[in-house]
Amino acid sequence: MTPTGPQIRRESESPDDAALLERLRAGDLQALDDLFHRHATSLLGVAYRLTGSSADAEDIVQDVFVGLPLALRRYAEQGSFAGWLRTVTVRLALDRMRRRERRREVALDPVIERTAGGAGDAGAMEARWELEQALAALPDTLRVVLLLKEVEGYSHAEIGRMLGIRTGTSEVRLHRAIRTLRRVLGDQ
Amino acid sequence: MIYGWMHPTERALTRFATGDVEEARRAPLARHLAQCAPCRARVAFLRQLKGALSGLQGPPASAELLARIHDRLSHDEHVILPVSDAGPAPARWRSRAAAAALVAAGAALWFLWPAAPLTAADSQGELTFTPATPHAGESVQVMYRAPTTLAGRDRLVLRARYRTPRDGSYNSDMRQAVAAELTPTRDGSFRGSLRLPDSVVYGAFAVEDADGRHVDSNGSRLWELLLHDSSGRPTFDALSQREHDLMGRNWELGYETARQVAALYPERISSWYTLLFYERYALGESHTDSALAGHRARLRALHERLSARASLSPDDVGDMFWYASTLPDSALAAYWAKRLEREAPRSPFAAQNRAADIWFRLWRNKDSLRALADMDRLWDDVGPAHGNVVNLGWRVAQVADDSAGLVRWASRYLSMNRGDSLGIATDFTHYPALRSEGMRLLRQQLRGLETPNSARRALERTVDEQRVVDAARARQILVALGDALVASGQRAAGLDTLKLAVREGWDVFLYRRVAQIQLSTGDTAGALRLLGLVAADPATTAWDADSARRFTGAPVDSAAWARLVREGRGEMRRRLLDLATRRRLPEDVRLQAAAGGTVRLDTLTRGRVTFVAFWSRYCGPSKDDLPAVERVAARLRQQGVAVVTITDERVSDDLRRFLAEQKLTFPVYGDAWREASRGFSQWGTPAYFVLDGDGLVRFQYQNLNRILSEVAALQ
Repeated sequence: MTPTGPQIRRESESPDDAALLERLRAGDLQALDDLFHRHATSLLGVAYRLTGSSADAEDIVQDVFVGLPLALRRYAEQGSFAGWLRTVTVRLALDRMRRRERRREVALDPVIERTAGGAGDAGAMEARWELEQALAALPDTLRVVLLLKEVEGYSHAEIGRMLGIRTGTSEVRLHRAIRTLRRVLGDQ
Repeated sequence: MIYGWMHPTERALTRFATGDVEEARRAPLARHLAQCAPCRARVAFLRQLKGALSGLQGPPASAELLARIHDRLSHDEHVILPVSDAGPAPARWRSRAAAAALVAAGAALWFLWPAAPLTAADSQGELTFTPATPHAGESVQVMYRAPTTLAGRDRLVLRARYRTPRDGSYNSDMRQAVAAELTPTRDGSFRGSLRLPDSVVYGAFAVEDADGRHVDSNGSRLWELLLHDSSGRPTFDALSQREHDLMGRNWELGYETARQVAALYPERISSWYTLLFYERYALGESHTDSALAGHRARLRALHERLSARASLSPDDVGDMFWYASTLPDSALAAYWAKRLEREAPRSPFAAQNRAADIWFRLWRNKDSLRALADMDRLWDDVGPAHGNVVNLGWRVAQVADDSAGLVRWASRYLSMNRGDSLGIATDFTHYPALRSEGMRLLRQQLRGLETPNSARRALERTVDEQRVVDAARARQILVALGDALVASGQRAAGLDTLKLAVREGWDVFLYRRVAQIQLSTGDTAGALRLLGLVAADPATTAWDADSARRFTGAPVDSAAWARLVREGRGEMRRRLLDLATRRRLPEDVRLQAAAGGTVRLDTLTRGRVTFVAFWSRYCGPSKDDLPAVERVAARLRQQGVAVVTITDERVSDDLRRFLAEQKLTFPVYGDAWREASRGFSQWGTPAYFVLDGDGLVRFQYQNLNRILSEVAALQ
């Protein structure tokens, strides 16, 4: 009998994306589970770093996968699916941050229980908290560019298109973000 | 560029560290770095930073998260993903280190229509209140001229949603009541009378027959009464409640109301931040630049006048704080936040700030148990002063993962958010210690739905429409309950419950999920029956016997599979028609044709099943949907279905260019006189309707997914 219910699998067991997409297009929701197991962790990371909130990150990744069956109809297979998925996640995160700002909602993080429950290197935890705090203190405009460029690996031109800013502006913001962080994190 | 003796700029170092440096500059930079320890340290910092940032992991990809995704899919929820960039307008973001707040606004994606005078269409009745501007305690006479659907009855019922000054935005928690009985008179009209109950400042009304089978909701706009003061102007509370009532149901009138409040009550600070909210939310950031200058000047003037006064009401202090925070003016916001803390620590905005402080502290010191204790103390001090006290309290209890705390805060949360009981009960079932309590609450809600309750029924809905809404809610509860039963090890009972959830309605995602659970219990036949329903839906692509074999892992005979799908189609038709409405449209809806000139809607739809799409190129979700509309429209036209798409602007060369650029070929009509919007009672895009051959509105949705199956059900 086929095992059922959501189960976390190792990546190596999953078939490749193209085959999974084909199955999902054919209406096989098990393929959605497999895509989730392959990509959700990295997408949660992307969304978490941008929004600074685990809850937001989970909501965003939920939206990505809930929207996937419909969006696949419009997904033209150019470039990697993982890259496309990541860009969609970034856009959703940006959109959420804009809306959050408009509604002036609190965006803070119950990340503690996860971090505190993890392996107990107090120094590393301390460093992570410090970095998260410094990152959270950056204005959204700077933090977003820093993360998109340095962690997610987008070019300034791509970032410019995503944020509706000029390429040069993206570069200036990256530079300002780094300068601010260096000051806050006490390095020089 | 001679870096040998001169330090490179920070920007050059950043480029070097991030790999963005041009080839020609790389070598000189590298040479400089080899000799210069401070610059080397800067580059090293950048690289470390990059590593540290990449190491920031998000929450785990848990099975619960995946289950939530399936849960949403099973409720036929659809998300339109942004598959292209937002466009050139620069984002206007600010630091999020501002005070916590939740303007009571859903993420409804409504497009604001240009103002147009609203008059009752001929297909609707006419209702007049005398006096139309009642004072407190005054008796009001009601005169109603019925449309054909309600004419000739012995009596009609006037139902009301009454609001007091303390009621909140949106109508999900509101109760409805019978306001008056209307009896026929010799001149053919119906008459009755009512008196606004004490403390009521605003009422919305609809007329229906005695059984609640036919409702006249004035084209979803309802009729209204606002309490007036002795000088004949609507009271501030009445207008505020009108604005709350319109929230999410008609942004156009909501915005208009906010403008009216600001014009009539300019001395009320809250008038202005409410107006600012509407300007931002409804018009978009780019429309508000000029308005913002006016708001800033006003805030400064208010500040100069009020800050000099030694004693102010708690409301004024709170409102000044909020106006300054909303704009934002951080210096003035800080000034008023201090005064608020000192002078009115239990007022709503102060309570919200204190809750946010606890939340921020939790984030810094990671001490969730202390935060929970602080939140409890705050509650003891301020009670339900502000929605964010309970929102944040509930979240702190979740972080602390403390069963008693969760129970405490859930009950506090529910005291302010009655409508969210299903969400809280479902959340409970995710905590083993609270699961049985969650299941008890779910069962209680199911019982509540089984009891007929006209107070719950929205004014616009007939009894039949409410039955459909209740049934959909019951299915949601059954799914949550079934899940909880399976999670608690009661697999058979869980499966029975899930089967109940799939007995009615049309929800292919849910069918698939239940089929999976059935398979795990060995019920392959049951699973196949559900899969037959899945395959019957025209929106499901290419489900054949092979797919079923793959899904079930069991041999499936092709002939047997074909029979299952055929039965599934019959079942789909029955179930969808069960959900369908029968709403008549006005006969004289005019549209602007693409070639110019006027065309009547009924001439386009007469005698054929028709797909009607409302769209706007200025509404992101609607614009995103257009390629899908194009595909659906092409497929439907092949099937002989009429297609009418209606856009919110006049037909122009610019619009034609847009259509050509986007390669859109479906027929487009302009709703130049807003008659179609009024006729369909619809105020947002995208919105989709399916009309039957008699021109009755049978289905309406905000997503396209069910259109194909609905058309199939009607053909």
